[in-house]
Amino acid sequence: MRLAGRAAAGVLLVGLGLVLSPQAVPVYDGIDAPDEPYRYVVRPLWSNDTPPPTSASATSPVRNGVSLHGLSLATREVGPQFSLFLPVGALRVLPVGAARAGDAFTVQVTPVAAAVDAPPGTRVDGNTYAVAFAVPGRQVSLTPQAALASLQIRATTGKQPPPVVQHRPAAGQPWVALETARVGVDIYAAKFPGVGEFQLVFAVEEKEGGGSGGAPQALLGLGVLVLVASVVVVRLRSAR
Amino acid sequence: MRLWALLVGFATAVGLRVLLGGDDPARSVPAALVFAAALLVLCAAARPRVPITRRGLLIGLLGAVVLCLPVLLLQAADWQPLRGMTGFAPWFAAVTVVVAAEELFLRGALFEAVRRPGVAVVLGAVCFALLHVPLYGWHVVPLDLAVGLVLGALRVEAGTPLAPFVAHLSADAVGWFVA
Repeated sequence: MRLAGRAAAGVLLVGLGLVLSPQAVPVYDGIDAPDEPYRYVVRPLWSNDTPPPTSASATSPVRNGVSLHGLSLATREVGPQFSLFLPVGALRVLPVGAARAGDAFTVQVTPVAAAVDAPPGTRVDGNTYAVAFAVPGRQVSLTPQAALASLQIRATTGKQPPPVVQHRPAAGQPWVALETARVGVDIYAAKFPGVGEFQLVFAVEEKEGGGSGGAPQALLGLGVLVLVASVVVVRLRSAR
Repeated sequence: MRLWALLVGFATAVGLRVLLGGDDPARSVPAALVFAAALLVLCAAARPRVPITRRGLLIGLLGAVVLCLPVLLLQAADWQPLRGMTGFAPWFAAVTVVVAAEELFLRGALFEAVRRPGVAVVLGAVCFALLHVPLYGWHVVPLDLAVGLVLGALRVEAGTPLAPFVAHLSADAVGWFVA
């Protein structure tokens, strides 16, 4: 195969890899490019002084009572702290048939202070985000197309075990855990169930008894020994 | 025996990176540099050949296009603003060290320790994919396997680890802006 053909095959192979690894970081190796420090609505005392977190909004015209465009919106931090994707036709004006010419859906994402009423045994990570839809003078609901809608929230840390995305339709209502997938070092995705508030929560760790601090040091020492042994063997074998 | 020692050393280097990386091993620069140092020590023992040739450089640049093109096409299809230059220089300096260590090891020392080039390419790609699992999770294996195969092919084509090093580093640099 000529060089150009092999190069084309390489492009296809990498493309296939990207398809099979959605959400994989495009940095193939090295050190993950750092996000800017997390921006809090209410900054903890120990965190960096940062600009306030940003909101996001997008609009779509109404056509035949449903949203004409798919909507992809993300807050403007690097990386975004909240992203939302709504496919074409995901939103509907209620009551059915009440849409007027010139109507447009507006989707708004707003950071709010972390909720104080997180479920027991959990700790809220970062901000809570409120998502709202609006059409002036009308109500909005989701269509079956909205089953494809999804959101992503950035955690303040890549710490594992992973946090869980929680949702509630309005303040004061109980939080519901959503099926959460890790899609980046500190980015978590879930299906979008509807308007309301969203947050990430970590399970509160129980403090273990003392004595576990020595294990990492012992492993480190063992690792260094194994590495030295490997180097010696490689050197001896290379010298023959 | 030499091959097994290299593989054990490699696995140990990855383990050290995870141990030292704390909550976020993918972003820990000290852990990454320790990982790179461990690989470089193994390379110093194995002494892989690293010819610096124009062909190696050109093949590497072609490889950079191969690695970046799918990502850039995706970026164009789903337009997102590019990241700025803030913080790029120190990040790139650290990445250069890590990439150099990886390519010297995977497409240098390890490659030369395997008799057959085809097997060396596949083994290097598997190691490349597996080293990312503790950092990013299993979902990156298909992509990193594909990239590892391309980098291995560049090594075979150019006859020097210089080519995969150039391609790998260029792709990472582009990745900064599209991440």
